[in-house]
This record gives sequence, structure tokens and C-alpha cells, in this order.
Amino acid sequence: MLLLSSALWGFGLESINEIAVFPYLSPQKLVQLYKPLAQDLELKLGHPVRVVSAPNYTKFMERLAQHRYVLVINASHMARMAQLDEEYQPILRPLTDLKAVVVVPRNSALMDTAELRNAVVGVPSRIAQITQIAKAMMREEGLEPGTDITFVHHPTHSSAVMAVANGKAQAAVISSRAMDQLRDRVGDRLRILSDSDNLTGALPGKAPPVIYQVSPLLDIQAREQLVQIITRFTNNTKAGQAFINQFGYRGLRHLEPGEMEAMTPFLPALRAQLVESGK
Amino acid sequence: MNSLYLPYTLKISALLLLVESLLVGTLLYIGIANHEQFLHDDIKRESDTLATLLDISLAPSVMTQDMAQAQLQMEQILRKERLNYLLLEDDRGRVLASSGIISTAPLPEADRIPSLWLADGSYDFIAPIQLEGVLYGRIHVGMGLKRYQDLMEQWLSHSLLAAAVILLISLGLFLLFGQIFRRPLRNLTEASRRLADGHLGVRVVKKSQDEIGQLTDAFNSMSMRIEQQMGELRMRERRIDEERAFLQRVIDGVNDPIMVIDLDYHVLLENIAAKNHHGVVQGEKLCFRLTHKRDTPCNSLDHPCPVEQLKATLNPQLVIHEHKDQMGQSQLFEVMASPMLDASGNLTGIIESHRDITDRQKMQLAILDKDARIQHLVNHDQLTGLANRTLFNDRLEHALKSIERNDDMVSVVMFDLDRFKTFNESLGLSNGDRLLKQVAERLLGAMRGSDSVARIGSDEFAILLDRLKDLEGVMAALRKLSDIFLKPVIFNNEEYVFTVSTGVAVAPMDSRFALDLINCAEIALHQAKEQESGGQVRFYTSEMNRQINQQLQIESSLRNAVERREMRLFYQPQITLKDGQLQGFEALLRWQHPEKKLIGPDQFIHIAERTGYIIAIGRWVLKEACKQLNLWQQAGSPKLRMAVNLSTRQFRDASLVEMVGSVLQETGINPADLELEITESMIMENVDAAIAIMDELNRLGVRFSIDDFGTGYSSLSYLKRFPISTLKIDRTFIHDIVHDQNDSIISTAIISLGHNMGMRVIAEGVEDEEQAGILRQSGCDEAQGFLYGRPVDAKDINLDDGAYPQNGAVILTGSE
Repeated sequence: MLLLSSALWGFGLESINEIAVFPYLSPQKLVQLYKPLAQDLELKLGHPVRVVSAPNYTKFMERLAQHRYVLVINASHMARMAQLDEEYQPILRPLTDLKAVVVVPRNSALMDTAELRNAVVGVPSRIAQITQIAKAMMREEGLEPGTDITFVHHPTHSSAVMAVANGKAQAAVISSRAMDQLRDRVGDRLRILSDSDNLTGALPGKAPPVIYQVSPLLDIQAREQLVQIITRFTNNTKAGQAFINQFGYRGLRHLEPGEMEAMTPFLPALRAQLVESGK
Repeated sequence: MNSLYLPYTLKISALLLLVESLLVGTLLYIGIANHEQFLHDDIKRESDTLATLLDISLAPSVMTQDMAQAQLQMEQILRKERLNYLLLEDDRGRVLASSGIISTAPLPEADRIPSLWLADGSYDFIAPIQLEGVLYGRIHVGMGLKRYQDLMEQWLSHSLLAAAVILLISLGLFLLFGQIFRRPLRNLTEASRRLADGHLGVRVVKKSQDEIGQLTDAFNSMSMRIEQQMGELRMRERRIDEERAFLQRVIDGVNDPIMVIDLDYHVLLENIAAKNHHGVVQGEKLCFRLTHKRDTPCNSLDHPCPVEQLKATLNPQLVIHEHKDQMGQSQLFEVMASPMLDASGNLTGIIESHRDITDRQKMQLAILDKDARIQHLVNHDQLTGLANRTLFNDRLEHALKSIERNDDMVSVVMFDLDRFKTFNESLGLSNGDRLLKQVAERLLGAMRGSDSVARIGSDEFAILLDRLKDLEGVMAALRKLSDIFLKPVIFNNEEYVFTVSTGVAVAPMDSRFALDLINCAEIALHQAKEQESGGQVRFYTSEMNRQINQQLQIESSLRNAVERREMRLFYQPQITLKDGQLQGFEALLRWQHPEKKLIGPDQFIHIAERTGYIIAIGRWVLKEACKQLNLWQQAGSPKLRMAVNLSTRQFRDASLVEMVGSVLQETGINPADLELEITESMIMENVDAAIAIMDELNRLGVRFSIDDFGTGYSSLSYLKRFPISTLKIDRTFIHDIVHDQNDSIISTAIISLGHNMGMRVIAEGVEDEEQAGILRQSGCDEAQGFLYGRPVDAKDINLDDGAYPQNGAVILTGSE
């Protein structure tokens, strides 16, 4: 029905009054981080724009399925799923990639990931892309999570790292960006053991940290205007640079062909985890 | 019940209770206000906390649009915070979730401020739901106020209860303390009452050292003092009673009535004699009723009131009162009134002592009569009854003392009868005595009342002339003396004429001492007696002697001057200034003395006035002048008029009008041609009398002119009332009229005045043509003076020589 109406009439820019961000951080934090973009859109569009989210990834994806969001900032694997399932169109991605790093205490004797057998390793939530990459990394080293190694899921990347710093885990797998942000706090106590750059399996070792996508209901002209507005802000304005650099993205750009398709290997596990979480 | 009769302690208790009630009420009010404010603040604080809580709790749910979570949180908060309801709406007002709302009714309006006493018992407010300042929705909150109201009511009830308890306890304490405090006060009150009832020995037991104790001490001291003073007072009263009884006994022992009277005439005290004198009248205390049986106080019309006299003088007074005794018999009382003064010296009454002097008065009158007779015998000549030398000396001394205080003179005129010795020897002593008696009678009849006549020797008499202003008084006395002896004395049908020799001394010129002055008079008398011819008068001072004798001589000569045809009339013409025509003459009197030359009126008229000879002389003048006028008129000058001067004595003479009338009739002239000249002083002396006389003469047709006008003091307002036809400007103004501007102004003013009053104006004393020119220029009608002719005898006037145009010529010949 929505699609039908979209085909007939399409949504314009006036329909963009929310920025729906996938719930990878607390609502307060999400509002705080994305507020500059919302304010710029308010200014450019001439009506209020606010940041919204969902209680969890499942709900987030359900709402995408319901086409409740027009402008969405999504994790790249979830964005691929929305693209495939709900026709949400990816429009922009950061200039940088996301990769996983294995972090151990600085004085740890571990020199190779393979030495983590039987170790307790802190990882983000099960649905996180990093967690899937972490599993792939461990499997490449011959370590089967749950058998050779124990994954302890943490609500955030930082809590996983803090568990290592506090001695509650021997290692943690987190995003490289998260490590960069935590370096000041724990850099003297931790060191990176390895990263996902050289991952060779189906899963890519790195991925866009987020994907900016829009509802298929948004007409093409509005979509283009929106892309221009966002990129002009993030890439050409001081406030936009400050906004985008707080994530370490350095800027946004259009997606290259195949970039979204590269995320497809994450989908089975994602779907399974979403089903699991939705129960 | 009147509050005045309430016990003092009850009043104090009530007052304290009232004050305490006000205080408690005020505190209660402040407490309520504070508590209410506190609860208001509490509500506000809680609502703010609640808003924050809801914001923090619900913002993530709203942001993530997790309504289930929001609903859950709202229900938890609703329960926990005991809220009435919660309603969450998004930023566009769409309801997202609600809790506690079961009605479909719209939510109550949000209250603007939290208040404890909101009508619906709920504080309704709306709180924003926001993240990082971004509004995500609003929450409507209904916060129940009941627990606050319950708290307030609970606090209020506790406070009121506490206040009531405090007040009740206070009331009880006040009443209790009031009872405790009243007890000593009641004792003091009772003791005071007993003290007032005369129980002077009453005392109160002191039970404390506080103010009540001090009051008790003071009361006991007071009652003790009163008891002591009352004792002293009774003692004094007894003493006073004794003294009063003693005083009463003392004054009762006095035979004369004694009364003590206050300033309102009330008799305060009297003795038995007084009571016996006026009789006892029950209840009557007024002195004038008791003593005089009259209803008003005495007054000066009958006899003076001692009370009033003492009020006026404060000095003891002696008055004579006539009282009627109980039988109605008139008695004469000598009332001695003395002042009764208080300690400050103020008059409070009088003390009267009465003495019946009825008999004594009679006796004294008899004695006085006898004394007077003795005194008369001592001081008077038994034969003539005149004062004797002793009395004369006394009177002279007294008179001399009086002239020391003023400029008067006193004269002693001493005379004796010439040839009295011969008379005595020829007719016997008894006739001599008779002669002396007759002389005395004549003297008493002739002399002034103030003059004292004495017989100081056998035929020697003395007259004391007192308060003389000048020698004229002496002259008058000598004249009277002369007149006395002009009448002959008749003895045995034969007439005897006596003359007296007189000696005169005058004080203070001759002496200021009585005996010296009498000696001077005796010396002068002796000198007079030395003259061979009797009837001589001698003054002690030679110059005075000369003056007096000259005057006496003139008087003597003047007496029959008219009969001797020694009087002559001169006439001075009066000329019209405008054209020089003769209008008439003024008759001027001269005396051709047989031994002297022609004497002017200034030398004898005053003597003629004084002696009264002026009446005869005046009549002669008027008649002569009128006769002469008639002659001139008959001779061909019919319009001439004649001016004749009247003297003061003539003007006052009662027969003046009659005399003028008879002269006019005798001479047959037209009265209108006669102008009588009088002076200002003559008419101003008695204006009404002058007007009457002048009116009468005016009715005859006679006209009047005012002579010497300008020198007297005429009242212009009176002047117009007189029938005056002519004003004569005094010669003194004319004399310097050429050189003295004032005289010129006065003359002009008189001329103007006369004309304005319809009078003719004549200038006197015109001596030259320059004067005449000024007067003419001033409009003066006529003139008189040497310029036109000196006064001359009628025989020297010829009206036919053509010198004057009117009525023929006048030739003025001769000179004075």
C-alpha cells in the first residue's frame, strides 16, 4: 500500500522529520551525537527534525519493515537487509571502514590470536557486525566460539574493553573505531593483538561503519536533494566536519557498486539473531 | 455589669488573656501561613522532581517510541508517586500512553501554580519530555493534594488544640494568680474601708516584700499617721473649743456689743451684749438684718457700711450708726470696725465693737455748744460781735500761709472813726457803743464773705482782705468803706456824718508776717490820722500810696464828671474807600479834667467801668452822639450815620435796651443810622445772652459793628448767629499792611469773610494813601483814620465846605 502510494505520488523532503538511528548506543547518546545533523536538516528543510531510535535492533528492523522511518542511519549489514527486504535505498556511507581488532592487556604474553584458546573474550552484542567478524576471525585461527573460546557479550564495545582492562577477560574484540576512541583511557594498559584486515572468509574483514539510507517512499528528486544537503553539511561545513569526525568517518560519500552486496554474507547470522532476539 | 465594678485582678487577667490570645493568634496565623507556604514549596519541589523523573524515565522510551516501556514506567511511577493520572503525548499532542485515566472526560486544565487548596484537590501540570533539549513529548500529571491537605489540616488541628490548651492553661493560671493577688488587695481594701469608717487602729499584716508588701507598709504608715493626726486634731479641737469658750466668755464680759462679720455680712461671732442689743432672731445671720432690721446692707446714703469701708481701705474705721433697739427707740452707736486678716494678710472679715454714744453725744453737743460760746467770747468783741484782735491775728496768719502757695495778695485795712472821742464825750458812751454797733453792722453788710472784719480797739476796726489778685480789690474795699460812711448815722433824730482814717498794708509787698503787717497798717493809719482833714487813706508803701491816691482822685473826680459837663465827644469820619465819600462818624469820648488837660478814654474808662460810672457816662455819650447826628442830618446830611462804642459793663447792663430805646426816642434819629460798636470779647463771653441783647436792639432797628476785629477769639460758627452788619479791621493789622504780608493776608481774609457773611468792612487806623490803596484793592468798603481826619469836636466839623462829595463838605479843623 505504501509502496503503491509512493509509486503514485512519492514523499518529498517535507516527510523527513526524523533521523532514525539504529540503537547501537543509548537514546541519550544517540540524540547527543546526531543532534548537529538534525539541526542542520531542520535549518535546511524548514521544519523540526529529531533523532529517533528503537528499543532494540529487532524493533528497529520491524519499523523499517513498516516503513515508519524515511531517513535511516543503519549498521551496514542491517542496511543491506533493509535494502533487500524493504527496498530502503542506501545513499551515503563514511569515507572510513569498520574493522575488528583483538585487544589484550599490554603485558599479556599472548602474541597471536590463536593463543586465545580457552580464553574469555569480550565481544559486543550478538547482533553486532563486529561480533560476526570476531567469530570469523576466531574460526580462521581454529578457535570455535563456545567451544574453544568463550565469548562474553557486552552491551557496548567499551564495556568489553574495560573487562580486559579489569582482568575479567583475556581479550576483547571490538571495532577499530571504538579502540581509537578508548585509547586515551586504556591505551597504556592494552595493546592490539590483531585485526580483521586479513580476514579471508566469506565475511569481509571490514565494512562501512554505517549506511545512510532512505525509504523507498521518498521520491528520487527529494532523495538527491537530501544527499546534497547531508554531504554539503558533513563534507563542507565546519560543524558538519566536527559532527562526522566524532565518529572518525572523515566524511560521507556515495556508495560504490558492490559495496552493499559485500554485506550480504552477514545477513544469515543477522536474520537468525533477529529472530532470536524477537522471541 | 459595669466593667468598673469588676475585680482589678480579673481585669488584669482578662487583659493578659487578651494579649496572649492576640499573641497566640498571631503566631498561629504566621505558623499557618509559613506551613502553607512550606507545603506549597513542597508541592512545587515534588512536582519539579516528578517532572524530572518522568523526563528521565520516559524520554528514551519516547525517543525510541517504546510505548510499552513508557506505559510500564508510567504505571510504576503512578503507583509509586501516588499520582492521580499520567498522560503522555508526543510533541504534536498525540496521546502516546496514559495511566490512571479511566474517564473519557477531558483532562483538567493545567494549574498555573501549585496550591494547597486547589478546588479539585489535584495539582495538574504538564512536564516536557526531552532529550538534549529536543522536545519529544509532554506528560500531563495529576498530582493529588490530599496528603498535603491532610498534613495541613493535621498541623492546623494540632496547632489550634495547642493554642486552646495554652489559652485555657493561661486562663486558669491568671485566675489562680488573680485570686492569689486579690487576697492582699482585698485585705487592704477592707482595711481602707474600716479606716474610712473610723477604725483608726486597723492595720494589715504584711506577707511579702513586693509591691503589695510596700503598699501594705504604706497603708499601715498612713493609718498610723491618720490615727496620730486625728488624735492631735481632737486635741486641737478641744483646745479650740476651750479657746472659743474662753473668747466667748471674754467678749460676753464686755458691755458693748461686739460682732465678727465676714465679707458677705454674715455674723460669725457676737457677744451677749450684741444679742441683747438686737435681739435673738432664729436663723438670721446677716448683720444688717440683725442690727438695722433692713434687707440691704448699709450704704453711704444713710450711714457708711463698715464692711465696705474696710474692703476699700483695709484700715480700721470708725463710723456712727443709728440703731433701733428692740423697743424701736433710736440709739446712736459709735461702731469701731477693725480688719480681720488671715495669715496671708488678706481681709476675711471685720470685728465690730459698738458703743452706745447716744448720751455721750448729747453731752458732747452740749459741751461743744458751750465751748463754742466760750470760744466766741474769747475771739469776738462782745459789743459788736466782730472778731477781736486775737481771732483777726489767727485769720491773718492763716491767710498769709495761703499766699505762700500762690501769687495772691492779702491786705490789712485798718481804720478808726475820726472824732469818735468827741462824739463819745458829747453823746455819752452808750451812744458811742450804738455807733460802733452800727458801724459793725454796716461793715458786715458791705464786705465780701471771705473778708474778715474785726474790732481791734475802741473805735478801731480792721478788715482782712484775702486772696486779692491786684490792688483793685483793695480799692474796691476802700470804696465800700467810703460808701458806708457816706450815709449819715442817726441818733436822737439827728444825723451825724463820720469819716474814717484808714491805714493799709499789703502782703507780701509790706511783709509776710501777721504782726508785722498789722504794724504796717497801724503805722499807715497813724500817718492818715496825722492829716488835719479826716477821711484820709494811707498805704504803708509810698509808691502804692501815690497810685492808689491818684486812682481814688480820678474816681472821685469822675463821679460827677457828667454832671459837671466835663465829658466831651469827638467825631472821626468814616469814608468810602472806593470814591472817598463820607459815610458817617464814630463818636469818641474825651474827659476835660478840671485840673488837667484833655484825658483820653484809655485813662479813665476802666475806672468808670469798675466804679459803674460808665452807665451814666455811656448814656450821656449815646445821647450826645445821637443829638449831634440829628443836628447834622437836619442840617442837610440826612444819610450820615453815627457809630458809638459800648463798654462791657454797658453791654451787660440789664437796662441797655431800654436806655437805647429812650435815647432814640428822645433824639428822634433813625435807629438804622446808629451803629453800636462792640468788641469780640464782649459777645463771646456769654454768647446766648449777647445774642439775646443784640437781637432785641436789632429789633429796634439799631445796627452792630464788631470793633477791633481780628484781635479777639471769635468763633466763626457763632459769628454768623449775631446780627452784625459791620466788621472793623483792627488798626494793628492796618499799621503794617504795606510791609507785613501776614497783615495784608489777614486783612484780605477779614474783608472776604465779612463780605461772604453779608457785612460791611471798615478799616481802622488808615494813615496813608498806600495803606488805603491796598485796602481798596482788597475790596475793603470803608476806612477811618488820620488819612481822612482826626477825631475832632463837632464844632470843628463843617459839612458844607465841599471837601467830601456826599452830603456836602466836611472841614476837619483842630487837632487832639
